Amino acid sequence: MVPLIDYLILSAVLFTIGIIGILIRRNIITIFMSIEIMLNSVNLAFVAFSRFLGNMDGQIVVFFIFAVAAAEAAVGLALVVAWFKLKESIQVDDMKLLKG
Amino acid sequence: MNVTVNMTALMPLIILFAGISLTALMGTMKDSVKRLAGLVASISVVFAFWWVMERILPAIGTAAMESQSGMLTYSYYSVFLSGIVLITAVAAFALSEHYLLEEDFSHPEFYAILLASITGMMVMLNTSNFVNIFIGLELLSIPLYASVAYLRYKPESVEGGLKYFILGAIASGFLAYGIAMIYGASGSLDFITIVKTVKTDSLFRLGLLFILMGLAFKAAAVPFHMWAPDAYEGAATPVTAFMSIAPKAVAIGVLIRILYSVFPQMVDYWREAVLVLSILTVIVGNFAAIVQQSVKRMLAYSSISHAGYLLMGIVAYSVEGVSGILFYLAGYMLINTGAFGVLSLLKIGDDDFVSYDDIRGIGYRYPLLGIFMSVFMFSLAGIPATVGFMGKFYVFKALIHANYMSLALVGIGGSLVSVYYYLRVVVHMYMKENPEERKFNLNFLSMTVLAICSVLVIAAGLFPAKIADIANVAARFMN
Repeated sequence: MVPLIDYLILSAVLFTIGIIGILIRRNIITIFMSIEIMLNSVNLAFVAFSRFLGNMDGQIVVFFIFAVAAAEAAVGLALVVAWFKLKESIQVDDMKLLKG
Repeated sequence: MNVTVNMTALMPLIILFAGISLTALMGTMKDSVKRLAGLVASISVVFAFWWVMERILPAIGTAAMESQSGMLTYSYYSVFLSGIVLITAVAAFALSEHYLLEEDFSHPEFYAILLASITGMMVMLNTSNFVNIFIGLELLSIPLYASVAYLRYKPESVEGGLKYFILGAIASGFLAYGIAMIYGASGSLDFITIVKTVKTDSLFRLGLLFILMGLAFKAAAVPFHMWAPDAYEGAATPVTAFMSIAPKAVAIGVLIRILYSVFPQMVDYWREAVLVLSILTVIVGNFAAIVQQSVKRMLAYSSISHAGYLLMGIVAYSVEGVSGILFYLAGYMLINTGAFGVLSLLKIGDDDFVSYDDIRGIGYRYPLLGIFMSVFMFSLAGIPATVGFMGKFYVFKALIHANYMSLALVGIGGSLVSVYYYLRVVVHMYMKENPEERKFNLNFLSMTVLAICSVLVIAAGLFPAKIADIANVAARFMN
């Protein structure tokens, strides 16, 4: 059987990839994908813990996180559509109206 | 298994949900009905407030009222914070009525979105389970992203919303990851079980750090504050008033609850982290506020520095500190509603006139507005005889009793710096000529809200004992 620590390392790596993606990517759609990777790394950690602790709570939380990620994507994409209508761009670098 | 549902405990959430459904449905009806959306939303919030105060408060004793095995937990502490959130919501609805009509973009969905956010706050405050903390945080944040970008034809508004969204999503990722680590280390998501586990595992440290970061994002503490000025400036002013108070109160309140009553064994560990956060927040917030050209953006930075004073109260780790924080939040609610309320009136059509140059001469052209704004600015600066002074006094007193003299001095130094930029507003209102004549429409409803706020700011500043007593009781019965 694969030991718990392997799952946790994979989850941590995915989480880091998500964070780095959000910080260095300039395209908003790619940033959304990074957010999804981040939340799914949390799901992996929950499922792994749940399996090794023999406790079902973690697997239930995963469903909540799925739902939340879907809601977040819905609102986020709506915001991108509104932004695209105004500026015809989905680059983060074009967001520079507010400064100071 | 026998499942019983405690309807009394669920009712506030059901009432708010009914409000969401009704206001969302009103969007499909004819205009004369649509105009009532604000009223319906306010009624549902007031009804929820009444239910919490009349039905739930008497059922709470020294022990919290629990239902659904801790999924819903009402204590004096959480009821106090829920009260702050609900009162802020009514004030924000009253202010947005005029703002949105002037903007000519008043839709019932606006109230539905804000009500959803309020429901999230209630879920997050009144629980002792980490699942509900996460769900509540998301239900709080996602509608707020939408309400910041509500003025969708204004690039500033959408830009603020997107920035808030991206950074807020990182915050919720951090919080979820932290909860996963705590779950892995303790095998439970319930506060009461987690308190009892021996916390020697280093997973606890990692998890607590991530939870702290996630909540610090929501409270806009430095270095997690980057979203705040942009989101506050881009949003419609009544939304800014709401989101500068309610989410901050919830984030700080839940943070205190998690740190004090779930991780009391790790006090040495988290105290250092909160100490560093609070010092950074006070310093950066105050100095960045000095250089701003817009009053709205200045108030955004000032709300960051106020988050710093609140975090200082957490470091004290005493009942006195918590009651100081609760008093501070109650006062801060009155002041910030008022300050942003005045800004929400400085509006003609689509344009907001909220820069320092625009408010020149407001003081003598609109005497009442000038007096209100001066009261709020003095109070934010912490001048005695206002509630802002008493709040700072209680927090710093708790710090000194906990032997954090130097931290209290940093806080006092920060509020001395803040006097400069708050008084600059008053100076611009009364001592500068404005070459342009502008006719602002002083709406009666908004003016009533401002009058109530400013009277209460002075009254609570002169006679703080009543609120301080309530805050003291709330602080003592956290669980």
